[in-house]
Amino acid sequence: MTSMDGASPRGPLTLNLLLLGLLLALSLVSLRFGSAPLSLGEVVGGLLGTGPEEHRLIVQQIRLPRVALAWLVGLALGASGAALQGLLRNPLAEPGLLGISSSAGLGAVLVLYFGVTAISLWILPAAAMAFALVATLLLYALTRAGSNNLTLILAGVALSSLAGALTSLALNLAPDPGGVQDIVLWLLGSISDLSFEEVRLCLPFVLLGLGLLLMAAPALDVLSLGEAEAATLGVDLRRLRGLIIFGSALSVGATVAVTGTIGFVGLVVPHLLRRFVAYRPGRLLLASALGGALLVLAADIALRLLDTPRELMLGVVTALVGAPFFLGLVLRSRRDLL
Amino acid sequence: MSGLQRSPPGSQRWERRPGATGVRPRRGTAPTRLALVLALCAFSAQAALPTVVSTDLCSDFLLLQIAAPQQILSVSRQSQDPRVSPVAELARRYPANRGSVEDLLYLKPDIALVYSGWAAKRHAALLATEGTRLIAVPYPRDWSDTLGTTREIAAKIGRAEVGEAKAADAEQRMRVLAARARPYRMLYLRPNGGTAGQGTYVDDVIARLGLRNLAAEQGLSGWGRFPLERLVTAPPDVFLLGYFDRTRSKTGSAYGRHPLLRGLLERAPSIRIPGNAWGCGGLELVGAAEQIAAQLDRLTLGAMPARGD
Amino acid sequence: MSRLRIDRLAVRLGGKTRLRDLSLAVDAGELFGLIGPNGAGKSTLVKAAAQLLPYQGRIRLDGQDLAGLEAPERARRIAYLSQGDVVQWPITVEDLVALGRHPYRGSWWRGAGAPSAEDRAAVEAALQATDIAHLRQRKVTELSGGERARARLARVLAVQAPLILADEPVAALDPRHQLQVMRLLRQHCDRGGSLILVLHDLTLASRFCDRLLLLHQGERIALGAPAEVLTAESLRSVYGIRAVTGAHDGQGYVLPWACESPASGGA
Repeated sequence: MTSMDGASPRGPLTLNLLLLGLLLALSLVSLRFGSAPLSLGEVVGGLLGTGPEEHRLIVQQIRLPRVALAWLVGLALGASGAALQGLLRNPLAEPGLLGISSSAGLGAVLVLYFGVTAISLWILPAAAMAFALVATLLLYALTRAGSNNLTLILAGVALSSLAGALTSLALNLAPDPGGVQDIVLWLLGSISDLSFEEVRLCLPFVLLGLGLLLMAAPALDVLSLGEAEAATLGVDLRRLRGLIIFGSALSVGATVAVTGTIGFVGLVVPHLLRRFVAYRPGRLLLASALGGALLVLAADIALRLLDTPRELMLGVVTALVGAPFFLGLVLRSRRDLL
Repeated sequence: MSGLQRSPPGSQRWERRPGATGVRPRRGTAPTRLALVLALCAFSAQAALPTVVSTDLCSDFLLLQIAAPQQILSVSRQSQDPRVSPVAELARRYPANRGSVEDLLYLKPDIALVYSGWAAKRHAALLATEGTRLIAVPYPRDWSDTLGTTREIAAKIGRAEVGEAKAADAEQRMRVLAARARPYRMLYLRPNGGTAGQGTYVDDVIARLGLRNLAAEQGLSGWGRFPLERLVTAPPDVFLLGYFDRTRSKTGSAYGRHPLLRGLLERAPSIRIPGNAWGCGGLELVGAAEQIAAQLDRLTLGAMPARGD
Repeated sequence: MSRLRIDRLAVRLGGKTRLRDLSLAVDAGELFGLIGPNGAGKSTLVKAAAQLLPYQGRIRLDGQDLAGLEAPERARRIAYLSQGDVVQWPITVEDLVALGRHPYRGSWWRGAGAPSAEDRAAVEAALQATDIAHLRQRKVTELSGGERARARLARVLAVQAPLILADEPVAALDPRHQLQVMRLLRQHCDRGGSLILVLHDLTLASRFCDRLLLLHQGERIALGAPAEVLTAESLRSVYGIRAVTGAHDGQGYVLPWACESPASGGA
């Protein structure tokens, strides 16, 4: 028997089910930890609504949205990272490194700066997504012709610095120093003490973005052959690019609008999971989305378990894990870079 | 490190930073020029007082309270912005500066008031050769710090008597407030979840009002963040809301929007204090304390709020 | 009716004319070679036929205008092998070859489904034909150059398209693998398939191709049987070389031997 009808279709299914199982288990673990010392029984009671009112509030209104946001952020970052790597055919592509997240952050900061969220809160994710979209388009235009690691990373550096500079400019000109500090902290990325209102704010866009990305999966496999051969195999390149660029911008932009920028998830997760899907970029998408959620959830649990005087920011934790990882990747592909 | 990542110390410390705002220079409008001329005339008349420039919002507050008008050469531009400064009108009588070394070299005051983290302190020697003495205004940790700083700075700029009078008056007013016991647990909260634990002047003022600071009771120290979960397990009898008047903070901070907090705020009484009323921890603290006490006494005329429901 | 019919094809790219007024027809079962010096327009012609470039003129496959054909339909009827080695990820040989079945997949929601019996048979046949069945679980990036070239060719064969367009498929191979691949391509034509092939090796062109088109600066210099095209005169005027020619086992060979000053512009 060949692997085509054997391991391959079942392989990723097993992997995805395994990831999903771990994700559910870890979600329960995540519900268990917080600044209120609830026992497992009290957590379950709170979740089912059978316990005292305050347990119910804590579990359902504080810890549950937190778990939901960890899922959404991780799904968005994991899937976008894998999809961008497939599209640019480059394992170093990642929404954070490429400046997509910081551009989305800029959009959100501008909205907060001008205070237009008073009109409608939906302007916040809308602006973040629009800026993420512009960044992704720009990046694609910059790196499409002969995308090697060097041009890609340089384009990402340029884009991140631009977004960072414009964010600083907005903060510099802000009349309200207290608000500035809130924004600076928010940009570092956190999912603590958020409510289902924030979940609602990004859920539809993350789901829509994920849908677009997953639709691109089969064509992404074919793109391994290069754009020309993929086109002659019936892949509509414009549609493929559109799906991935819009999908990433929607999902990443919407989560950044709510949680700030959380980096490196989209880099680490696809890299770890690629071998389990026989290196096929299309199959990597769903696995990477689930793996991203798993990583964000784990990081969010870890920062609550760490005995620091104040809770660490989630974006800081993922960067502390992800940046050395990124360095390792760069070292390994050094020949390619030079 | 965690102090950096975690919740802000209230905007208070931030506001001490000069040059953080970007209002365009407004040098030499007619009234300010007139003021300058008047000041200089007055200066030549009673030459005893040293000239002073203050370079950040909090130093401005202090200077405008204790200095003689003729000795103020310039105040920071922030204090002229009514959005952040309660004394904008008064501050506009003087030329504005952006808190740079150049400003000081150009204005040549005898004394420059800067905040303790001022980046250009390394130029102190240079300024000294130009006849300008730098005085760092320390960040108060409690009410006695505030009084001490006021007296100390006043003495240094030759206004010891005024400083003493103002400090004594404020001290007396605060003592009056403290005479009454208010056995409630109060929680100071900003829209981003920021609160004030032990070792902050907010904690000290709360204690002087005869209240119990919930954040300190929960073991928080410094400017920290009060987790929402603790709000559920240990709700305060009364909230003290700072900066909730700012729409931007309100919409920008998910904590302040959280339905759980909204629900608690509907049930528990709350007192609001405008963002700039006590951001510097100067003598104006006593005014803020009086406001809090007045609102509190109005709130709790009836029975003591039953905690928990 | 000829399989591929090109009428008055012209391609301009970046303000430069790459191909000018070119007409030709390739029959079923024909191995058609494109030769000419670098920059002659060989790859351009192949890419235009694969609908990868904008062009003027008409290209018809079995009487149907290619430009009007839906992408999946076209993909099932024309297979294209690009120049150079471009597989990015270390996927397995079998997965690589199976990508040739992409044009037969349904819509995206069925795309993730298991391959059909025909798909499996086509992949298996391509693996066998290129003699790489034993490498099926190896990663593409770990293969030798010759193995990888055969794997990519197997991917093209798996499409089971009546027309294959191949841009220099033997350029990077050692002599043994060159001969192997040429024999494979010949077999494809012997079974009724058509093939347009870009080549630099004049002996391989002479031995294996049914007809040759000699291009120079985007224009047709000669078209016909190898012996008619590879004349001393055309080699001198187009390539600027003198060649040793002859025949062995009844097949002609052309051995470039010395440079000569070319006549400018071509015939």
